[in-house]
Amino acid sequence: MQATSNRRKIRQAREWLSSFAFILPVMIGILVFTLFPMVSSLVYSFTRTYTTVRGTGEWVGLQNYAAIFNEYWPEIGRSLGITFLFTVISLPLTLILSFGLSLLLTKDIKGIKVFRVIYYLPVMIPTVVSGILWSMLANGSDMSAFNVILNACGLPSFPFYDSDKTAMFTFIVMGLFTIGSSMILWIAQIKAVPSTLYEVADLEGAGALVKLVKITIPMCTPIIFYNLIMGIINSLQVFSNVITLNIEPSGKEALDFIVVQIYDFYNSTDLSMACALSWILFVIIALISGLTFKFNKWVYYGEDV
Amino acid sequence: MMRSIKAAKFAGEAVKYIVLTLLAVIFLFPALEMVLKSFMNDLDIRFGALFPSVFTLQPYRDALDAQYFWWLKNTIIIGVINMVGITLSSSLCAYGFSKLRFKGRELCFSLVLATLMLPAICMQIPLYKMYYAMGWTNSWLPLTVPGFFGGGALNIFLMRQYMRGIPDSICDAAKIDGANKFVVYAAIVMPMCLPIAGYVMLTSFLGCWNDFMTPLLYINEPAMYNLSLGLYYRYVNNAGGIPPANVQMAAATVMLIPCVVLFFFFQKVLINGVSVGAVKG
Repeated sequence: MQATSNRRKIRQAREWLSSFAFILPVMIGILVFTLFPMVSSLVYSFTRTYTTVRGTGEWVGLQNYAAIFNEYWPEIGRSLGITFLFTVISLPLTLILSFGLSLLLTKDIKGIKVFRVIYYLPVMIPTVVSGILWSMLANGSDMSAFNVILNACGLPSFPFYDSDKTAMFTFIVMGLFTIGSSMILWIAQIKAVPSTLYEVADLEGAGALVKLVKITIPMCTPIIFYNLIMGIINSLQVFSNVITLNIEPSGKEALDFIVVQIYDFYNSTDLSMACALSWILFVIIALISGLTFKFNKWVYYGEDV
Repeated sequence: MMRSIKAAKFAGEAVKYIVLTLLAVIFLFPALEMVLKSFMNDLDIRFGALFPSVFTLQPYRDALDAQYFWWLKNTIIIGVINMVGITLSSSLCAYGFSKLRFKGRELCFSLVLATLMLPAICMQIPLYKMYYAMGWTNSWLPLTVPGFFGGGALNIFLMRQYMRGIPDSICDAAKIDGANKFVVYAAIVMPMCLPIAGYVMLTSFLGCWNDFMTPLLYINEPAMYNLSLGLYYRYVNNAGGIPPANVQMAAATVMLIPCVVLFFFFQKVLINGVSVGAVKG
């Protein structure tokens, strides 16, 4: 009796192991490349550790966090403001414009596929290429491509990336060129809406606007939610798109996003300050996405859920 | 009456096409201007021409030196290694999460999804210390090894979504015939997952092609740069002076070409892949 139950246990354990083996790579990966760095980042943030010196430095308690909220606060507070400003403006704009674009593109008219490909194309441009390209297109000189066009239309030159007043505007516009990636999601979702819903609405005599507000948008809420969460997480972490721009210092000043600050600390070998600031960013992201999840009653997940 | 309805419909179509075409011109302008500028001589650049007065290949001769091709070679090697590593690893994990039943599976899967929420910078900076201690900085190991360990939560998620669509009865039939789990994965599930595997391969290669932040943090040896980092230190952050715009655009155009070519050949794979996870998820 005892022997058979032991044998069964061994067989069960072996069965479990042979299944778990398949997900072992990702579990090790999470342990080594996610959990370990997250924890060590927290530890570093309470010490004075440098990238150039081996090992962890001396324990300083909350000093790094105190420094962030005192002597570094003018810059960091400003950076946080810039990051939030960008998120608050660019995210709704991206959502609305990509949704509008996809509404244009779900109608069955000839050549629609070609347009879809064209609108998606800018998404494929590598970050560094985009940085080099936009520094050329949108600098403040009279010879930049955008200003040549403005001047040809009889309009005065616009400073674009070369002024602290217009750099953020230019950066947001640059970001709008990649709405193709959200557009693809919208299109897929809009196409997945059962056509019977529209047929019923037609029978009831509903107009195009009513159908949009009462059927299309509610059925698209999962994608709105997905785009919202991913948009928040990504726009709070803007970095590569800024640092690859070759623009005047005054323009860079206006684009001093929080992750750029973290990188500056890292670059000046101050690992512990970089870690402390990235933990603050992590807490902010967790709070905001947590709140978004909490208030997701408006998302329609189908009747079977 | 009939005719006026037809006319109105035609006018509506025409307006739609005009709007779509106008938008297409706007979306294409940056890339198009980049290509045009890459064929300009220095004089056109100085006077801010939008269209080259003469087409010259000189910018390409200046931009594509031995170092450029060296970085290109580096980028391709790193990209191919990741393409294999990420696809293999994420499909194995996705198979475990979708087709095998075992205790703790759902918990592990939520752990995987939770990593999507963590800001990359929080992990990448402390990882420097680990890589430094292991002697991995200034090598390609930080750019290639992590791919073999799961291949990213998003890829696992997409693969799992796709595999869930494969009926269990097919896998069970193979099991009754005596196939073990790995054989079911390799001989039955994977061949049915080619569209999504293709998507993962394509995006992981393109991801490496575009990757800028990882090499920026861990590599400072010019011989080890990928193309992104090489172009950055040559055309953006270069204390020794930056070459003129036509040379910049030539270098950038050549870097863009593979992305556009891959996109045109595999747009179906790409667009379907993007939609799989989001809509069904």
